[in-house]
Amino acid sequence: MKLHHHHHHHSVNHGHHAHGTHAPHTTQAASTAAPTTAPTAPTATPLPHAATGASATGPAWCTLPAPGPEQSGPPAGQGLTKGNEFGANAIRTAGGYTIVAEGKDQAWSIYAPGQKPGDKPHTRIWGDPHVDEKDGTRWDFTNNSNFRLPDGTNISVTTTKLPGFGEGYKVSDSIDITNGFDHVAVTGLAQNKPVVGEMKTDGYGARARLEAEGAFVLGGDKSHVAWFKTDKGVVEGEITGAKMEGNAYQQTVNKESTYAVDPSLQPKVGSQAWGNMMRDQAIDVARDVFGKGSVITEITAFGAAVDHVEKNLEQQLAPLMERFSNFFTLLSRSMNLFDLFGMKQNRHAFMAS
Amino acid sequence: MATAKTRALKRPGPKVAARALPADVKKTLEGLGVPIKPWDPKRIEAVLRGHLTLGELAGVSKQQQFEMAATGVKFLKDGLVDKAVQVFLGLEALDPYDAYVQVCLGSVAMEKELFEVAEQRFSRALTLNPFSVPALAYRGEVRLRVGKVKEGREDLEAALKADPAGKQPPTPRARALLEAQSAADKKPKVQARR
Repeated sequence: MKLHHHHHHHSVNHGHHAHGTHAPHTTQAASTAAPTTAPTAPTATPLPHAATGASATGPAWCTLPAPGPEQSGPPAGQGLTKGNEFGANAIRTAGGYTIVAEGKDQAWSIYAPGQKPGDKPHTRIWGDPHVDEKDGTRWDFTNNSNFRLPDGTNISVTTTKLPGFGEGYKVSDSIDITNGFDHVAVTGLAQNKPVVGEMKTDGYGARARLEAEGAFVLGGDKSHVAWFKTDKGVVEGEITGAKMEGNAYQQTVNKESTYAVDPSLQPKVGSQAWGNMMRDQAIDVARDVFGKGSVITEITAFGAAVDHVEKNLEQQLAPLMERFSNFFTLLSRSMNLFDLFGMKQNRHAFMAS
Repeated sequence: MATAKTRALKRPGPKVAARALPADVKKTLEGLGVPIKPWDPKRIEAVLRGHLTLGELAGVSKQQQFEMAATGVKFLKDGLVDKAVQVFLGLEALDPYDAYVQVCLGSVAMEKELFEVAEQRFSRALTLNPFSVPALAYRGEVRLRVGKVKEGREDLEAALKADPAGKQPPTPRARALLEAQSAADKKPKVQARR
């Protein structure tokens, strides 16, 4: 039963404090307002279509669909696309990166947004496997690894040992690329016969179950390529080279180099690709912190089967949410969190576009 | 030793310093039962850089956020609008990149006749998810209500196009609005002459 007595569509406009009367000076009152804009008097032109049935159906929220990943972000098919001017073995990410399986030297290359066929790749991974950065830096790795691009795309490379290779020397065998819901595998790299597989929509789940020893995160800008080595999501430093230790290459890092990525290499804040990036990274963090296959990781991966126990959600969740809301309001106000480091990105994200 | 490359990366980077909470805030947080423990500065930095959401920092999974959103919608439908808003604001803090939360807040603004705010919220939702049928349908409705007939029609038509089978709850409403608008457009405009 509806308890809320809402304003009728055709009621007289009561001005900008309509409904603010409950709590005009609380955060709640400002709540629905876009943070940048003080609630202004609506330009309440009377409906030209006074006869619409809509007003009789009640508030719009009566027709809100249930929450879920398909409402929260772009659907499958928008994260990765196959085939473009780089050829049939090229995959374009939502943020404009292009990953190309070359079919020679067990190589696959990453092109930055705006790069064209024939340009020197932003990063080329080839041989046993060497990583050639566009600006000249070279390093190596041995075992399965993750390469994460600034738009949230993850490239999980599986390496394999070729006959005759010494201990610690492997080549790229396949790469699994995920962005948002989308997931595509490229196999046959070791044989120099790459095959781009079917586009699947298990991106979130696949990402949560990734198994890899290291993660390399791309930073820098269009001229200066900078891959950073991370451990459990924490950046160790910028990779400057590698040396063989034990039976695997270990990357050497410059710990003084702070992770930074030029905005031109990142999706525009608020864009569709940016949304994918945020969600992808959330899963990476869950996996890194709680471990592959953990319940938390599986739950975080959208679409994971979760036993949803219908309990009294109202009683359980409302106090929790209230707590979070108060907590973050307090935190951001008292610590001025979003200005603390002079970083404006998140603040912009809160603003109306 | 700084190379040309590392120099290029030297930006006025974040200086992460341990910072004590003000006493009153600390007291309030303790009162709320929020555990006060120092977060890894690197993870806070990651939040500020947009690499992590607060939800991830606080350990609230996306699935939990969906459940909370469902509770918010339930509050709305029960008429507990202020409680619902609080839930949605909390969710927005946890994940400002979630289009659904923006749609929910927009629908509240629309009902409060804060049409400009509602339009902004729906537009933001569409930036985050250009395929959001409710955002298209509701923004179309708001635009019609403030007299932006052409834009409103375009939004409603886009909503119908995005959900041709009418599977999503807002679609029938959008269709009804569009039909009503078409009928209104056909009526002779007698008011023009006085």
